Amino acid sequence: MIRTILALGSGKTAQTVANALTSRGIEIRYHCQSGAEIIRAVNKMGGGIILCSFRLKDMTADQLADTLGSQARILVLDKGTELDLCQNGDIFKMASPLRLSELMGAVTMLLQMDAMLAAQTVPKRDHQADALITRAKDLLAAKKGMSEPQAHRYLQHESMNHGVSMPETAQKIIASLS
Amino acid sequence: MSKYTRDDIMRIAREEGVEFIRMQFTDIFGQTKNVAITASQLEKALNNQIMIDGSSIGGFTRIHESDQYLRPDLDTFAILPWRPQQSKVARFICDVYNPDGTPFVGDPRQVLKHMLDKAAALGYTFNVGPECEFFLFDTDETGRPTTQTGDEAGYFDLGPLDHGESIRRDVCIALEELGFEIEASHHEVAAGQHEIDFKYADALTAADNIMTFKQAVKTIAQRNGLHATFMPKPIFGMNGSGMHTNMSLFKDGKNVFFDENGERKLSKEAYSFIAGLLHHAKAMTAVTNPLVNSYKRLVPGYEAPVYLAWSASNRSALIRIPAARGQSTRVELRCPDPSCNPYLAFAVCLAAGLDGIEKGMVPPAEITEDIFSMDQTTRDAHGIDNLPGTLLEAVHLMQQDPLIKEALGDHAYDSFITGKSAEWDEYRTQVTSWEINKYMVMY
Repeated sequence: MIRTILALGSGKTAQTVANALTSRGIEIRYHCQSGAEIIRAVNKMGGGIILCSFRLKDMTADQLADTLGSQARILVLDKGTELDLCQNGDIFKMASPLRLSELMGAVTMLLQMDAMLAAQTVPKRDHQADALITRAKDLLAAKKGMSEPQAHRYLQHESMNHGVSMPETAQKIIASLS
Repeated sequence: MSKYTRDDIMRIAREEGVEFIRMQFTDIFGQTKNVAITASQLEKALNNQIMIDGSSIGGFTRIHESDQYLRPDLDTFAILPWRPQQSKVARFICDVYNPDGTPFVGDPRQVLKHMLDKAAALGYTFNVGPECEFFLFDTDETGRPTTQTGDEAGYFDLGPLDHGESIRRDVCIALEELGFEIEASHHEVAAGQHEIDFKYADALTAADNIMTFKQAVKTIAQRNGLHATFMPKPIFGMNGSGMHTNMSLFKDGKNVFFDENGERKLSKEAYSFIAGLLHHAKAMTAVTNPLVNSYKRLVPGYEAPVYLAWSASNRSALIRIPAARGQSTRVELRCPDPSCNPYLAFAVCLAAGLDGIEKGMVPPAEITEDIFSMDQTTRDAHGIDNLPGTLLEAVHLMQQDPLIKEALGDHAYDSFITGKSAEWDEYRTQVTSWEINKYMVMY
């Protein structure tokens, strides 16, 4: 899902960037004027990439970055003198006049970063770990008369109590019950 | 016993990497003021040497006697969780003192302390549990607040209808880091309206907590791109925001409002406290409801409490007695709104209640029917009067009751009256959009 926010005002630069993005199939989800609007948009989308000028109507890009933290990636497009004021090391910067090829390269990279962030879920266990847990549950059922849900809860409980992962706990149970 | 010593504070500041300290106090009109100092000045602050220009603070001093000093209350030292966690920011809530070392009589915190000392001389501790409501609104393209919410939720609704759920959660987490005990948080009746209740405390702590709470809500709302307001009635036709105020008196660790053998298990002192509140309610209103806009909330309907009555059951009365008894017995005053200065509001409530107790006042009969559905004749038959309808009326009534002046002290009282009279004058000379819409074409 492309989560792009444009906040470059209403001048020629904004129009040029908007046209460049949409002509390359990059949908602009929100056009914003103020930092507060951007924050609300990011909160609604759960993240996103922001193309903005350094000075928004109600805050600077630095202040926006401080508020959003790692929730969103910010690319500031502005004159060099304005970019010099931008202190936050996590903000990406590009001086005008813009070269569209460079802009699109930067936007593509940021979209990939955003997509990775959006795709982050609870890490999946690998097959070996799954097999260990299944084996441990089978042994708990056979040797201790536990049902599958009871065995699962037992593994979780032991894992939490000893501060180790479930696959490690499963290995210990297998070793002790085999 | 104090929570912190000077050494504790110096150590905590050093260990936690505190780099800035905000010396906060409250002006007569309930606005938080502060002067920020760097950590290198902490010892100076603890030596009560931080000076302010009191003539620049509304209702404080005049220009030729303007030097005043901030004395931090050590127990209010806290690291603000909503500020950067590198180069941390801490705060003190301060009392304001004169250069000669005497408490400044116009400092609202000192006004409440003075009233609490009077109660203490009678053996009482005064506890307060406030229930603060507020609105969350979108901002426009320039960052200025609007009255749009995009929120369709109602009373006790959940997300996704309730867009403020995450902000309430963030506020609760931040307040708990400051040592608050949060009792409840929910969406209120109007779209965009929310309430967070925290546990009762002694009145001074409760007032401090309200000031901290307001800061937390406003800051965290802003960090979420929204504007929080404690304005009582931001939208015509929708419920306004109140600050229902639960009060109790304790003596020797026991709640004096509870009597196992009393009618409704309430003591004579409870009834006299209620009677005192009712007797002085109209004069108190300018303090508990201090804005022009407060009186747009205090109209019949919309669950706003304007009728001078009390009840153990129904919410249409000014004063309600919640069902809890024993140590939780309390009197709920429903008219205050969150724009009030809590120090002054609690001071006048206590003064009114104690006046009732000292004079052995007896309240009128309880009203169990829905007062909102009564017509004027029925209300008159029950002897039910109502609160003032405008700030001007409230100020005039305040001027007629010597108890309010005695509770606030001459300086705070005079400053308050002067400020509110000016506010009314500013309002009444405005040409409003209502007038334009009503009269421009017709005349």
